[in-house]
Amino acid sequence: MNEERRGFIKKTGAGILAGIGAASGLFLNFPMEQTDASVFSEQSGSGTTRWGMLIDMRKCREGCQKCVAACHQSHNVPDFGHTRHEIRWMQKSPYSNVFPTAPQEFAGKERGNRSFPTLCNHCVEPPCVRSCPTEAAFKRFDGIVAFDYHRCIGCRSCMASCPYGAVSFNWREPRPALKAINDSYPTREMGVVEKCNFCSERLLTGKLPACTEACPEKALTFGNLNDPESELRQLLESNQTMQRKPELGTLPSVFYII
Amino acid sequence: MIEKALKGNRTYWIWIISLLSVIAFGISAYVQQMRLGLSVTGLGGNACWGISAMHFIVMAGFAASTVPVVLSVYLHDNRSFGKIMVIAQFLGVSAAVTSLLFLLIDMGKPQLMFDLLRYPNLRSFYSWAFFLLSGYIFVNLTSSWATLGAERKGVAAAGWIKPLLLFVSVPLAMTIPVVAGLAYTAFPANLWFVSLLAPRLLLSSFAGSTALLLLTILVLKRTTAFDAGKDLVSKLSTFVVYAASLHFLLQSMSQAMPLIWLSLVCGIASITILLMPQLKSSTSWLAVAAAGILFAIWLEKGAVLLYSPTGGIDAGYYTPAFAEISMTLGLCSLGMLLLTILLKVAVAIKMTK
Repeated sequence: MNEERRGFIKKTGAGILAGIGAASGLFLNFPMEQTDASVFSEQSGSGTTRWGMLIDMRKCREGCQKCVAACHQSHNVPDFGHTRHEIRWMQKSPYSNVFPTAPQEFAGKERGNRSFPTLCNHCVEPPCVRSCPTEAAFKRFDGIVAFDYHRCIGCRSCMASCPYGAVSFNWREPRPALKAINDSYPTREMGVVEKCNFCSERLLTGKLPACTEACPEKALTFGNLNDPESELRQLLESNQTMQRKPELGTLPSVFYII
Repeated sequence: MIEKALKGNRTYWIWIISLLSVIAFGISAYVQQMRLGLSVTGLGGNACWGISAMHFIVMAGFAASTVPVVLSVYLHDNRSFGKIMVIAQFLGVSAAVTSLLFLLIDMGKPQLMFDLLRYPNLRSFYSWAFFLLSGYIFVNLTSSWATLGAERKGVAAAGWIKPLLLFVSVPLAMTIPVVAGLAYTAFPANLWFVSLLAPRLLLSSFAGSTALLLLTILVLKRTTAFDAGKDLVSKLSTFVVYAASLHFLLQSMSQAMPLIWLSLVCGIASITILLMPQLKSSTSWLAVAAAGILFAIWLEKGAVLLYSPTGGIDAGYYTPAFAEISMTLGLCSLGMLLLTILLKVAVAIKMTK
């Protein structure tokens, strides 16, 4: 190899490295979400942040679908008009389906038929994360259970393992079924799973989750479960609340006031 | 050695071509699935796993066919089983390959299959099932090929084969049916998650795989010059009787009770045939009994896996779609084609000796 060529390669390499360095400095906040390693904790659910939600059913209005609509609109959730292939990040389901293991022997008809908003519980011990063979489902430092749509192989172990039916699979191509596309959140493709992400993309900009913001009755309260001063913790302390299927030990972060 | 599979009589070629045509049928359904996604199946939010996953477990169970043979030869020093060792291994390999392929066709993104290797999650049974099955195929294919090569040359089999089979292949074969079964059901959501699950999976796997081995040997006796001998057949059928009796004793329940009853009746009738001296001596009756046990176990798996309540909000009933049935038939034929080719080689070498 002659000297001229050697020098050229050296300079080119240095130039590329400098370019990458400059780019990473310039686009620091670009599409990646920031994480702060110091908040990670070995023990699950005990970091500085564990996002949670309280749904007050005394305020929730029967027949209102505003939270579901806002969620699905902001996350580009398709509507196929086909129950079997439906994708649901949030939905309203009857009490007996939401709390199948809660005592309901003599429950009034009114309560049994009442529909409750349901979403991913962002469990402290999530079965979906345990069962995912490629670690496409993972638990974030702030308690949010998130999915990597690019690593998902579409095996649906998470769907089978979720005791709350919170995960949906893209049985068909979702994009043609989108009426309007929201540019602030990516669309998905056929063959991967998806679910509620507690609006991690909105939390990043300091906004509340779309469902919480959309509720006209303020029935949803979002906050940090690991902060004793938070409004959410105050409400949890002063009210009798329920979690879904608590006997499974998944420790859901979504609570209900019946 | 593989060239031996290219020479055969008319019946052999008719069999191969009919298998190939069923495979083509399955491939056409799979192409459809690649284009339209898993929406071509009968699956949905209420039932996320169907007959592909069920056959993945059934085939993983059949992969244990090497256990009785390897243990008889190397642990109990019963050398007469050495004659069918390669046949049992080829059966195990074919079942394991079919099982892995059932896993593959059930994926939404099969092109990312190797992410299972790149990002393994060692807490996931699904990951483990994939690794164990791949390892099992590798171990058994290499060792059986080496055994067969030695047999062809008329020399003793290599020294590494015995420890490999005894300490790697047998533990793998006994783990695979359980791990594959747990990959489907070891979730808090599933009511099938009971302490008897693992023994039940093991028993059904032993009964099913040995019955399949028995059936294969009987078919070989009818179609080729290879005869395993009366003694071996009777020992295998005794093993089937015990494994199958214990399996049906621990019969699981499901919402599809008529299927469970049908499975029980069929299984008990088959066991009765295997216990009656005058029927036991007839090859045809033995084959009927082995097929009956296979059918009973298959039916039981179907009833339990497909009709057990799942964790979702609105768990419902599931009906397999035409495309799924085509793919299942295609894959089963692919497994049989692989087995046919491997056995053709094995029998040709054993007979030219």
